[in-house]
Amino acid sequence: MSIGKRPNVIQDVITAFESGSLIPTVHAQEQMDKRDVQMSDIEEVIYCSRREEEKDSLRKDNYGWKYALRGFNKREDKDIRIIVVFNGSDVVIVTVIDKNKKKD
Amino acid sequence: MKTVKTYIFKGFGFDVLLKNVSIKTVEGQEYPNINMNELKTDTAKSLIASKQRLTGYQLKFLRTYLKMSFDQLNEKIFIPSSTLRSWEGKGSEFTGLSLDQEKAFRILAINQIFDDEKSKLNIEVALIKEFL
Repeated sequence: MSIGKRPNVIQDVITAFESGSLIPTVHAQEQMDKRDVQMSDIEEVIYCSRREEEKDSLRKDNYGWKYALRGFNKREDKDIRIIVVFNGSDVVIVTVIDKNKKKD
Repeated sequence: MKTVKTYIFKGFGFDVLLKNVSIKTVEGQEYPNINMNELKTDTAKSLIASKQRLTGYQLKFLRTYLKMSFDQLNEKIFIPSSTLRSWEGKGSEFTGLSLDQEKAFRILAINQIFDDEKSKLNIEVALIKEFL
């Protein structure tokens, strides 16, 4: 059985952010700390992000998809990809990558 | 859902210690059961009241929490945007704000938070009045 994707991921992520329910996992926070990315960068990114559907993947628990978004912060020194999953009313950031940084 | 007595949130560039946080799990990863807007407001208030000088990350956190650009902040506390930008870039180090500049910034921040909360309360009062 194929699992359909959500049609308006970026808008859903923005709505979650504005209601305070866009939350990074412990793992994502560690990545942010290591890669010098803060929640303020993520806020800037999501408002001008684009979908990277080719980077979407099915969740391990088969409850849907992991969705990839990508964009620049306002200073344009960080090219950030975030991977999110939907969990009830929460949108959870599970991965944060700054594509401008060398692989760490 | 488990609860931990202490939890350190690292998403702002500096550690924020939280107490009695329930933890949710998704995709084998744990995350705190918190409202980020409340966390940001509580963190902003704590920073403003803190006796320690602000670091670059904390200045960035407060400026973006207040939804101010460098130019808008420059108009309020008279520090060139380029200087503010470079101080935010100091990361975990203290900024170059003088005591008077930092005081002016903190007063600006607390006034804005107070105004925001007042606006929210006014909306709630108006909604309650509609029901009465």
